[in-house]
Amino acid sequence: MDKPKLLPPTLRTNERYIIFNVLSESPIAYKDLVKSIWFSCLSFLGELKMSECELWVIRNLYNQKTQRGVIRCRHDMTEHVRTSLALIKQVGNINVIIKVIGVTGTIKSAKRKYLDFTDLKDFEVD
Amino acid sequence: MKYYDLHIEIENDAEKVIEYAKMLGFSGIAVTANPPAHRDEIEIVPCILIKAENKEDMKNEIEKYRNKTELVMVYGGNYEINRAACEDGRVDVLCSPERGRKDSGLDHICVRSASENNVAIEINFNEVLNSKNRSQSLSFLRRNIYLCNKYNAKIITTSGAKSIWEMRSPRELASLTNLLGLDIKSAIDSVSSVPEGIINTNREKIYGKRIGNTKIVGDVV
Repeated sequence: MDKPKLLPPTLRTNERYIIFNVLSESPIAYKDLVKSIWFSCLSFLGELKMSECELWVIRNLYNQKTQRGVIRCRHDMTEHVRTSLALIKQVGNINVIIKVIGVTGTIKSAKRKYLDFTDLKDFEVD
Repeated sequence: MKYYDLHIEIENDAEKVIEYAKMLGFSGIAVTANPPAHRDEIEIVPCILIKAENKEDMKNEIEKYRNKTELVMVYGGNYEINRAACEDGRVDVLCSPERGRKDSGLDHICVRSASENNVAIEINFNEVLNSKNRSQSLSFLRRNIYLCNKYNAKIITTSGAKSIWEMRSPRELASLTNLLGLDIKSAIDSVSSVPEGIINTNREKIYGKRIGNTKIVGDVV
């Protein structure tokens, strides 16, 4: 037991999941993408706002083929993250446009609506 | 909802511009340099971007193009031109009044007359994306938005893209305007209903369906 316990729902922070699509000339590696997202957010928002933002790029939801991914942030900072994503010009030496497709409240609905998870297990209710 | 980007400065690659604009979710674009021909899949707004050095040149250029194109835009930057454009009712959009300046380029007199003459003030995303001192240009834009809010002047948000990779989707452009002090509804209106309104009134004027603020309904005998 070296982890703190999960907070009760009323004390947890409200989160939003931002689903984005990368338009680029050639395929983008996950590592470079995360680096440039963090760099752009830090330079645009600064360290203080960034701490408010609680940004996290979710690793196992990034799809190399469709170039879609998910970012987690706090619910009142989605506009800030959106603008900092728009201010990304290049990843490495490749020109990119990062387009936000949608914002959801849970990962489950993000998968269902935008990430084309057609596995039946994702829709099971238990 | 229809989204418009009224300021794209890409000279070649018309096919790609249209492809990307469609992909990003625009239903109408205005390409200032070398506008492509009419298309079915996307609305292309005929426009003219006037780059004048002084007031008289600007007025002559406006006189020449006003009755031919649907959108007359003036390239700002010089205070004399900014003010003259705001005071001229024939101008539709004043493009980035803070370009290349060390202040915001607009004062209360300009914005008040812009609001009286229905001149829209442009928030140019490219000015933020490619500026050397981003914090400074953001604060100028913030001041312009504050003044426009105060005097109820129109604001439109455009990408001002010089290459395809500088184009952004409408919601992203709106989010920048929202962060700079405009509430979210008016920010989204600044890429959708405000440009649409400008284009529609100008079309009515060109095709003889409107005189001044009066719309003509039915046939005139």
